[in-house]
Amino acid sequence: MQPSDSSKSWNSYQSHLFYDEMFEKNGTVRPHYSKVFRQFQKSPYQQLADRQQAFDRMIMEEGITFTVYGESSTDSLERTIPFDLLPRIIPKKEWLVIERGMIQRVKALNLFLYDIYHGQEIVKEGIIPRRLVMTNKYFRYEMMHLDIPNNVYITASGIDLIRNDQGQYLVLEDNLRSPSGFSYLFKNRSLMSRLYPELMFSHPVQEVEQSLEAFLKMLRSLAPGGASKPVIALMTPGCMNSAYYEHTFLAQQMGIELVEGSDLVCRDQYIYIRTLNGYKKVDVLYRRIDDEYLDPLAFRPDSLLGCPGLMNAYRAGHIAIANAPGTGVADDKAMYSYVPQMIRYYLNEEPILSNVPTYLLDRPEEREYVLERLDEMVVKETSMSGGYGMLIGPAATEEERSLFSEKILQSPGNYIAQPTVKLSTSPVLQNGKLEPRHIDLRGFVLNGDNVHVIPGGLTRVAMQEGSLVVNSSQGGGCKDTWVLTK
Amino acid sequence: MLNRTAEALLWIGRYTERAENHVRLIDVLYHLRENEEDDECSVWHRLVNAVGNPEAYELKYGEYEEIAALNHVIFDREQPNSLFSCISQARTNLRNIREKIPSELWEVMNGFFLWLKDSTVEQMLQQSPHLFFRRIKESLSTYQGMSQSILYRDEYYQWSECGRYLERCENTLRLLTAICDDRSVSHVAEHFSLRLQSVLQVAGGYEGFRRQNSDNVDPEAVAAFMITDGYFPRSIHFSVRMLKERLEAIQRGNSSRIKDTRLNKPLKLAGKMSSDLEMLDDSDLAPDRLGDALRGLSRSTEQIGVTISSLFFQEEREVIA
Repeated sequence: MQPSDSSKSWNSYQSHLFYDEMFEKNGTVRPHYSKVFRQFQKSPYQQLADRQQAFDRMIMEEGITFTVYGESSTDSLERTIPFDLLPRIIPKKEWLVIERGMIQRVKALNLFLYDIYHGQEIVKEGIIPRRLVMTNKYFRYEMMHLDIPNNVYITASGIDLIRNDQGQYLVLEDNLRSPSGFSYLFKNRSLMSRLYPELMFSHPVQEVEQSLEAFLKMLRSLAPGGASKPVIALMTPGCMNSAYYEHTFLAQQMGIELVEGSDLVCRDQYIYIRTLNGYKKVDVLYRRIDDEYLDPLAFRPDSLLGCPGLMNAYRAGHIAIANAPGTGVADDKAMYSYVPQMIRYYLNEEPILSNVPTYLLDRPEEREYVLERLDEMVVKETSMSGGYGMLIGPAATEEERSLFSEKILQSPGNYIAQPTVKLSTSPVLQNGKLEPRHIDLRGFVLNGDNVHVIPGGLTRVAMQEGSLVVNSSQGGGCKDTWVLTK
Repeated sequence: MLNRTAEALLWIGRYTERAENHVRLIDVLYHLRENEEDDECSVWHRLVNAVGNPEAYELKYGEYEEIAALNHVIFDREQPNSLFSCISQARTNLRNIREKIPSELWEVMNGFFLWLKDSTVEQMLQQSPHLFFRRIKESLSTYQGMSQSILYRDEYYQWSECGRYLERCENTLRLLTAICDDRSVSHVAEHFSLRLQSVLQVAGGYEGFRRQNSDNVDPEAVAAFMITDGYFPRSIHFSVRMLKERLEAIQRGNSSRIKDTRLNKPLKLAGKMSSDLEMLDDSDLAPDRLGDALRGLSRSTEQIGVTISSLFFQEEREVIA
């Protein structure tokens, strides 16, 4: 059944409980979406369907995929991330607040990491419990009192933002270790401009191409001894990694070497790439491998992905690593609840972007409060990512909730809870109609000798109706994100 | 350049060349039926023998018949030399180094792979096998042509071409050897002659041969065209000469001041093989002596291949921290 006239679709759009990107509560279209809405209205269904198909085909042909592995090694499925052709638009004024808020937050987090690995003043002043820091599984003793280039621990970070039912932006999570999504951001923009130019070029959108150059500059600025033409390498776990596409994309676009641990060798505390013509010294390593697997001599001895001796070279100041080892202590979900205090303590400022209210379940009163209201809460395991290890209270059955309570009672320190935020929605094209889907926004902050925020970021969409899970590994999709320059 | 990148490029060259050789052969063999007096199933037997694995085929499919044979040599994911497997391998290797090659090239290969992945025997038979084979040939040609057109002529290009010419040598030799070893053919002059001529068709050299040889279709002339001719791009001599040039280019293109001596051995072997080819005259290529000449050449080619791949053996992983 194909609707012949798509203009009627928005009447059945049901999103009054949530803040919607395009529509106000009474159904009027927000001014910055008016052109998009008009374009959508006047396009016949078939045209839109064809266009969406063209996007899907191009994504498949270009191989913009991530890999999901089945039981056998031949069983790997390359999945494309569903891309919706309606953009998410952020007016300039709104963006300025988001940008400033993220810069402030990452600045505080960087200062926190410096502090934790040096004088630990924030712990001494009792603002953050010592236990939370020292027992954190990402805390690296090897980083204590180590001075690193520019004191920048977090070169590339992904800050996940959501909007509550008032339209207010809140920070959901900080990703400071190996955030991904850059490639999809750039590719989305490239797809939109090639396959939907009339929509794209009728809006004053801030371009994102320059951000790649900015990223490269940040990496260059880390080079030890301020080398003028530093050799930069991106360290990947290899083609079996689900984010491999992104690794190849970044390496190619920035013109840096893509290496695996086995391509590197440590000699006299310098790191070299083993090439056919000899050894090439590496000055900066942008690594997309977890700390644990970086160096079998320093961390997990069974790691085949790392380079033995890398940490020695790092400590000797012969190579820079982005992001620095040990940043995970700051993006832990329990530590997240202290970030507003970090901002006040280090910067003497009020946080521009607020956290989602968070309960630490090893605190007895908070635990009791949460357990009484599990059906209104989202509970997350502090060390997990990718949307795994969590309970979405309102969507779970009584049995699932009680099973999860058991887990909480067994090791309360592993969990935090947040009241379910009524995540904002955005219209997505499904079968010729506009339907609301929940979205979030991952903003990318790049730090080097100065700071750069990629305009817009990655809007992730929970493609299933009513779902709140936006992660690509669990079926999430994405949209191109436009920051208007006017 | 990383060791494994050079190796991947070598295999991309090899697999795309192998796919091209196979599809050409399959196309000719499939349509050769009208000329033969043999029964139906020997056609399929010959097909599987030429580009498949008879033991594996018999284990999986049993009798020799059309659909199973076509499946085995074209679509079978488990058969390492099926067209699908070759393209899949080429594409996987290309994907693993995709940041080093132009995205246009990747898109051509990936688009081709995705189309082949979704194709079936039934679809092919419905449309027409010849048109299907033609599409494969054209896709491979697009890939090759685009490489020629836009690839920067540094080691990336040279390694891929090395793989291509090495594979071309091996495949042509195998093709000719199969005819010489086929008892049912090699002892009957007419059949032998006809079979050799079919090789010209497979290699796309029929018109070129005719232009050079007018009405002479002696087996020695055909053999000379495929083996010693310096101007036909799919001849063994041409392939070895190109292989040698590519290896020299890699050695020369070295930016390091110390000359890389690792490629000396394969270069010497290629040089020797080239002179051996120049020494062959028509009498060496007569039907009764052809087999010996081919065996010698096969041994040399194998040696070159083994020597080149030994360059990529991983050194002992020393750990000096």
